[in-house]
Formats: sequence, C-alpha cells, structure tokens
Amino acid sequence: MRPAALLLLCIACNDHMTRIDSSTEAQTPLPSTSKIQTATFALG
Amino acid sequence: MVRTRVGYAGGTKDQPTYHDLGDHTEAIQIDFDPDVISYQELLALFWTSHNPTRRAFSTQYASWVMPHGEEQARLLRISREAVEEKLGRKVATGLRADGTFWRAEGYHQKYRLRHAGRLHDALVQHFGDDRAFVDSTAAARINGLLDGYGTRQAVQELDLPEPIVELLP
Repeated sequence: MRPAALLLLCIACNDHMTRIDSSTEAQTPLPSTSKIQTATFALG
Repeated sequence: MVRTRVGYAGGTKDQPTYHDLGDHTEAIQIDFDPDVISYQELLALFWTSHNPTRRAFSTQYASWVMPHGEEQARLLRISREAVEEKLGRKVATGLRADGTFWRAEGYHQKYRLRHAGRLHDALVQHFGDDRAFVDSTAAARINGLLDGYGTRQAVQELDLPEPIVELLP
C-alpha cells in the first residue's frame, strides 16, 4: 500500500509545500502520549 | 503522524512573529508514533524533500534538522553521512541544537484546511477551539488530503462525526 501522507504548508507561501509521509496505516486508537516522539525540520 | 504544527526555531529571539522573525527559520514540528514511522524514515523523507547541497538564501528559509536528544542526533549523523556518500558531495543542510520551537500564528497553521470553508468550520466546532483543531490528528490528515496526500480511509478511521465525513474531499 502506498504510504499515507500529510502535507504541511510553508508559512510564507501557499505553493511551497513539504510532504511528510506518514505510516502505512492510521493508528486506531491513537497511541498513548508517552510513546510519541517529536521531530523538527526546516525546509527552505 | 499524531500532530503537526508550523513555527519558528533555530534562532535566539524570544517570541518571534512572522513579521518579526529575528534570526529564526520557518520550521515544522511533527509528533509521531515511532512504532508506526521511524525517525530514520522521517529523515529519509526530509532529504528527498529538498536539495541538501544548496546553500540557504536566507535564514528565514534555511534547511536544517533539529534533533531532539542523543538518539535522534546519532541517527541524523548516520543519515547525513549516507546522503553525502550517495551524492559524492558535502551536505549544506545544517544542524540546530535542540531549542525552543515557537508556534507560528494561528492563521499559518493547517493552511490549506483553514481555507476549506465549511469543512474547517465544522472541525473547529467539533474540537472546541482553534488550538485543539490545529493540534488534532484529523486536521493534520485532512490538510494533507486536500492536496492529494494520504487517504480518505486514514481520516475515516478517526471516527469523526458523519456530517464532517460527508464534507471530506
């Protein structure tokens, strides 16, 4: 299955987009918050 | 993905805004479940989402990674070296020390969905306020869906009320 994806829009312009693929399947139910990690990127 | 947000990071200015960014860069922050997608996979997407050999034209639009913790820093080093080996060139994409991520103003968050009229309004009403809407998994997935990424099924699995599901693209 093609990985699902979500799209984040760059702040300044609508057409500058960052594609971040997510998992192959949505999590149901969502995981407990203790498992969650954070990632930070800048894509100029 | 559990949550996403855009903001300003990498600089020293306190409480930056879009019109007073200081030395910060526009950035994205992602909360993810490592059992579903790994940090290595996110890094792989990051490298293919920009030209890592191009130097930034400005601090505002620079490309970098801000690893959180030693493990992310280690994985980033490995990933970066692999990219350099593959390209045969040094990577210009930078590294920032773990620091404050300042959330951007609300009107920058979930930009595409925010301009989706009734769908946006229904989601804000469902989650109670704009902050809860922005931080919802549903908003992250629908924002992507509006631009052709992800699947409707991934949104439907979140058990949103039927009136909202009917508004999905």
